[in-house]
Amino acid sequence: MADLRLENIARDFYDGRQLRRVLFPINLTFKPGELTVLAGPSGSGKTTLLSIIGLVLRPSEGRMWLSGREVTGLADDVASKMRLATYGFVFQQPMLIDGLSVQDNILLALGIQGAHIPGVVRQRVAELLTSLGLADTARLPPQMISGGMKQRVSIARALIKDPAIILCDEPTSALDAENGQVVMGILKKIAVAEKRLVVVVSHDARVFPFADRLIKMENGTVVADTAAGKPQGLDVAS
Amino acid sequence: MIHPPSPAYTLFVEHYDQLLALVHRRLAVVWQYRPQPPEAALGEEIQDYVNEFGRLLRVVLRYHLTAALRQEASWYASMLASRGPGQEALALLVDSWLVALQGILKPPECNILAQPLQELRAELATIVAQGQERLHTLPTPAVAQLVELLIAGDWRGALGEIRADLSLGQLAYDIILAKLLPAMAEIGRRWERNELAIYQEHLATETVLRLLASLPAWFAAAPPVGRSALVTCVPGEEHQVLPLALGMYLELRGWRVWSLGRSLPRAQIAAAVTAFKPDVVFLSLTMLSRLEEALAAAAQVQSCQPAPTIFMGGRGTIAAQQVLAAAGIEVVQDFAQAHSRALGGTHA
Amino acid sequence: MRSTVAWRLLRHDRSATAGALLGVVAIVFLVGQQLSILFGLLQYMSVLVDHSGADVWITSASVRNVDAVNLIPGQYLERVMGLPEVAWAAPILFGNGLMRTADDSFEAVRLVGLHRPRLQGGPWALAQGRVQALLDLESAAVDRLDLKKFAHPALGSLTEINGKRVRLTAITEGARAFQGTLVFLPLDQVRDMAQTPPGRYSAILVGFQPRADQQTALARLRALLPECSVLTTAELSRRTQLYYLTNTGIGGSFGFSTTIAVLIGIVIITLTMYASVLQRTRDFAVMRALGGRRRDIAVIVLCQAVIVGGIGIFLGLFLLAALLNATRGSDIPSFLPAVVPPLLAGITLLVSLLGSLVALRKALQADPASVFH
Repeated sequence: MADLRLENIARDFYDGRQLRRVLFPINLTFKPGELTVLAGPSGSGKTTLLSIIGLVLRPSEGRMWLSGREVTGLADDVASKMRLATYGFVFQQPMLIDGLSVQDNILLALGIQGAHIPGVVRQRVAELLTSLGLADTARLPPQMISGGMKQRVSIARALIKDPAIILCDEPTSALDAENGQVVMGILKKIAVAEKRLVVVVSHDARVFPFADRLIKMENGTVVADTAAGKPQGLDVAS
Repeated sequence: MIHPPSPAYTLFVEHYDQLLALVHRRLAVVWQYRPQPPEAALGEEIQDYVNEFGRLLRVVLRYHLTAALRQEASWYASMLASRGPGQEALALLVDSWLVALQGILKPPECNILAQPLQELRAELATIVAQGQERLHTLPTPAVAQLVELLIAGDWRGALGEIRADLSLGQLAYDIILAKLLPAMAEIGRRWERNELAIYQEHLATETVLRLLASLPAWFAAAPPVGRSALVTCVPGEEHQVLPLALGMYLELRGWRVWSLGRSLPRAQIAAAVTAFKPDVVFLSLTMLSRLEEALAAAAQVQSCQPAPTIFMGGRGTIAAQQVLAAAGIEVVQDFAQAHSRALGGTHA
Repeated sequence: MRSTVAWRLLRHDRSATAGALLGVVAIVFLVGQQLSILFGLLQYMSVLVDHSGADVWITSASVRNVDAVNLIPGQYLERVMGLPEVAWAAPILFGNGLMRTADDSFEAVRLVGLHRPRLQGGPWALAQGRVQALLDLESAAVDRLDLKKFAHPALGSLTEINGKRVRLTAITEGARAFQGTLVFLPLDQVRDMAQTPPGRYSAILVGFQPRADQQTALARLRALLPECSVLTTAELSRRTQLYYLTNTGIGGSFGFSTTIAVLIGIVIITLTMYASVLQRTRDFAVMRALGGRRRDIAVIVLCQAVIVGGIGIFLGLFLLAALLNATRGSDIPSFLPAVVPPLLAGITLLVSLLGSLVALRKALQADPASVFH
C-alpha cells in the first residue's frame, strides 16, 4: 500500500515565447484503497497532474511524497526505477506494442530494465489474463484482439508488477460504453479489493459512478474535491 | 415571501435526472465492489428511498434548509442502516451525491450545492450515532402491549385496551394522544429498525385505521363545536394514519370532519374544499421532501372560494416552518394545538 | 527481455528491417566485392614476385617496382653464389614483345626469360603441358585465360614474337599480370627478342640455405652488392603493389568506390533505422513510462543494430562467397585474403552501430510524458 502527498505542486511550460503556468499550486493527498477520478475539461491540467504523480514529469514548484519518501526531484534513472517498482499505467489508448504478443506486452512491464523473467511470472500472466476475461490470448498479437480486450491487456500490464499505484489516463475514452464499464469495474475492484491507489483521469461522466473520490480541475487548479472536509476514517466505500 | 430559486438550484433542477441517475449508478457500483461481499443487492425499496433523498435535497437546496437536512439524515441513517446496506449506506448516498454534483455540474455552482452535503458528511458519524440512540428509546409497557396487539392485527384486543383506559376516566380523544399516537410512533420506530416485516407493518397500520374508524361507534363525541375541517395528506404523501388520527381526534372533540386519506392530487383536494367549504384544512406533511407539493396544494386551496385557513402538521413541517409561514400556512406541533388554534380560525 | 523485444520489433517491422538489412548487405557485398577485385589486381601486380620461389630479389638500385628494373651485370651471379648462406641464384630477364596471334594479328606481351635448366621464376601451375617443355629454346608458355587474346592457339602450335619463332608448349594457370600478358620463354630467347646486351639480366633470384639466418644473409648480400637493390620477395612484392596503388589511380579509385559503398550502407542503415525508430517513438515512450531507463531504450536500439548487422553480415558474406565462387578461375581478378571477411564483418558491425546512432538519439528523446495524451 502506498499513499501520495502533494504539497504546493505547480508546473510551468515554456510555449516558445513565454513561461506559462499550467498547474497552480495544488495540495492533495491520495490514499490506498480509493479510486480517485480527476475530471475536468481539456487543458485543465489534469493530465499534467497525473504525469507529475506518475513521476514522468517534474513539478516546477512544490514537493511530493510517496509513502513518506520525498520524490520531487528524483534523477531520471531513479524515477524510472520507482515507476517500475511502484506504478502501473493504463493509457488512453492501450498502447500495446505491435510485434510483441499479448504475453510479451505484459511481461515488458517487468523486464524492461533487463530483469530475468522466471517461469512463475508467465503463469501469473496466464492467471491475470484469465481473471480479466482474456484466457487463451497470451500468444496472440495485439492486432488480433478487440479494443476492449486491448485495454484489459493494458490493465494486466499495469497489474503484473503488483504496483501500489495505478494511474489511468482516459482509460475508457477509446472504448464503447459496455467495454468502458467493464474496464472501470476492473479498476474499481483493484482499488477496493486490493487496496491500491488508483487515479483515473477522465472527463467521461460514465466513469464518475466508479469514483470513491472526484477531483475536478479547471484552468490548472482544483475547483472541486468530494473529499474536501471529509473526516478521515469514515471512508465508506473502501 | 418565498425567495426565488438561486441560479445554483436552477442548474441543479435542470440536471436533476442526470444527477439522480448517476447517484443510483454509483450506489450500485460501490455496493457491488465493496471489500466484503454484499449480503444482498440494493433492493428496490432502498432505491425508492434514494429517490426520496433526492427530492429532499431539492427541497433543502431550494429553501436553504441545511439544518433540516441534518435532521432528516438521522432518519435516513437509521432506516438505511436497518435495511441491509449497513451503517455506511447514508455516507455512501451522500458521497454519491457529492460525486454527482461535482462531477456533472460546473463550479462554482457544484461547490455551492455540495456544501450542505459536505457539512453533513463531516458530521455523519455523530448523526448516525444520534439516530441509533433515538431508535433505542423504548415505549411504556402499556403502549408496548397495544403495539403487540396492533402488529398481531387484534383490533378487538386493542379496542379492549382503549376501553379499559376509558373506564379509568380518560377521555377518548386523549387516549388517541396518550396511546394510539405513541403506539404508531413505536410501530414506526420498529419499522425504521427493520424489526417489522412489511406485512406486519401493513397489518398494524390497517388495524390502527380500523381502530380509529371504530372509535365514534364506541365512544360518544364531545358536543359540536360548530367548526368543520378537511384533513388529508399533501400530494405524494403516503402516511395516512396521522391525518386519519387527527380527523378522528377532532371529530371526538365535536368537529365536523372530512378525511380524504393518503396522497391526493392537489386539484382533487381543491375540489373537495370547494364542495365541502370547510372552515379549516389540515394538511399532513411527514416527509420534508414533499414540501414543494405541499406548497403547491396549499396555494391551490388558498385560491378556493371561500378560502379556508390552512394548517399543516407532521414531521416534515418542523424544519420548513418559516417557508410555510411565508406561504401563509400555519404550522401546528400536535393535535391539541391543532384543535385549539383551528378553533379560532375562520374563512379568510 | 530487452533483446527479445529488439528481435520481435525487428521481425514485426519487416519493411524497415529489410531496408536496414539491405544497407548492411550492401556494405558487406559491395565492399567485399570491391576488395576482392582490388586484392585480385594486387595479386596480378606482384604475381611474378610472389610465385618466384625466391627468398631475395636483386635488382638495379632504388627499384620502385619489379617491372621497372634496369639491367644488372651477370657477374653479380657469381658473387652471390659465393656466399655460404646462398643455396642457389638464378637470373631472370624481362622484355616486351609483339606476339602473332592465331588469326594473324598481334598482341603486346610481357616476356619473362627463364634461366635453363632451373627455370626459376617460371610457371608455378600449368593447365596443359609440362614446365620442362620450356627447356626447349623455342618453347613458350602463356596463360589459359589469355588464350582468347591469342585467338585460341593450339598447344604445340607455332607462332612468332618480335619475328622469332616460338612454339606454344605449355599453358599456365593463374599467371596473369597487371602489367601485361605474360609469356614465359627461355632467357636466351628473350635476350634475342628484346635485344638486350649479353651477360645482363633484369634481376637475380636468390634462394637461401634452409638453415641460413635470413637477416644475416640479407645483410651480407646488401654489403656485397651496395650498388643494387637487395629485397626480400615480400618487400619487392609490397613495393610493387604500393607503386601501382599510388601511381596508377587504382588505389584512389578503389578507395573511393569502397568509401561510397560504406557511406551508402551507412545512409541506408541510418535512414531505415531512423524511420523505424520514428514509427516506434510512441512505443519507446511507453517503455520509458513503464519504467524503462534511457539505457534500456539504448540497449534495445543497439540490439536491433547488432541483430540487423549480424544477419546482414551473414547474408552479405554468403552472397560474396557465392560471387567469388562463381568468378573463381574467370578473367575477373578476385581474391579475398582470409583476414578480410572477419575484418569486414567487424567494420560492418561498427558501421551498423554508427548508422543506428541517429536513430538511437531519436529513441532516447522519447518522452514518457507524451504517452499521457
